[in-house]
Amino acid sequence: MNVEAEVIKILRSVLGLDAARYKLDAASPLLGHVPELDSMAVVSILTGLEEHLGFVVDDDDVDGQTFATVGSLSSFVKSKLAQ
Amino acid sequence: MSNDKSFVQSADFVELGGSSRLRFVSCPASGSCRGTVVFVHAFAEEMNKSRRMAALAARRMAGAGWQVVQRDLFGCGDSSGEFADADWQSWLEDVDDEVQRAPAHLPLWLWSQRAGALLLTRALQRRPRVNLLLWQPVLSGEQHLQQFLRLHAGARIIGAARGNAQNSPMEMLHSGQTVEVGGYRLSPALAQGLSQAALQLPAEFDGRVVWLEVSRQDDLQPSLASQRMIAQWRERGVEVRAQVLAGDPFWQTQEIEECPALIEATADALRSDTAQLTAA
Repeated sequence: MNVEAEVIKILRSVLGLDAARYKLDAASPLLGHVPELDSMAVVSILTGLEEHLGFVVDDDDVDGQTFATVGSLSSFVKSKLAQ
Repeated sequence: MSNDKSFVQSADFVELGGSSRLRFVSCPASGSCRGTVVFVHAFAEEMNKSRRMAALAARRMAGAGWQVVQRDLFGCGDSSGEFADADWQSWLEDVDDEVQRAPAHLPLWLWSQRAGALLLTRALQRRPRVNLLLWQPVLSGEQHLQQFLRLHAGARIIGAARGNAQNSPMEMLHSGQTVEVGGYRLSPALAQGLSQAALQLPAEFDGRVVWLEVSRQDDLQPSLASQRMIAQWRERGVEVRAQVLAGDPFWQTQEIEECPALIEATADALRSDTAQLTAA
């Protein structure tokens, strides 16, 4: 499974960032750079990742750094899938 | 000959464990029922946001000849008790009680919305020959609890560094405190019950499953976790009809939304079923 591709799919769906207008890759900055990424969007993204990929996130393991870039979020997801 | 608008509805209260429960019953206007559908609603705010869709589906089913019973669980809706006083066992009993009231000689469907799917276990042990209609079932109570508590954490994740002094809702629950999340007071007992619940079929299960999900994605696939569960059940020999309808997650959306495709798929699932259910 391409974790980064799955993460980007969820981000696009929750934040409404269509591929034609927004290029997303590992280096793309998120928190503080994407105005749609507010606290409710964070909740929807974590929930979407959990449901789609089948793991449980402990909120204490997540902070602003997790959402710094697409790459940091993907790394977090990979670590959850490895557990 | 059924007329989809030909139904009657009534509300009554029943007693369980010394307190009352509201039941909303939809029946065919003809008065003759082909069977019973027992609805098990979703958890907390998802229940409220789903009311409209549940009402539409109930009317449709009643018009097609089914008696549809929608009970507010203890501490929910118009039933007795406060949400803060509810616990998982009482909810399992509520569902079991409703199943006991359904005529034993007629077909029975258990229809759940979201986390309602986690409350079927006791009823299924009592009556394994039922069919299941699962709307966007929640597979893991633990995951569902985390998602519910996450409403509390959203703002912290955006702004705070790891190790902030404020206790997380989970820490508060573990220390025995009831927490307020999104307007609901959640007790440690209820949180524990939910966290230990999982979607499962008892070994004796002897019915069919209709698994319906709603998705915004183009490819209309169930989630990976759903696909795994469906595959496991099919390997056991359970007949599972799985379908994903295009639509928005109406149990979570800001505005109350409808998904007509889900109503149609539901009506279709019940319509094509009766012949098999009545076999002895």
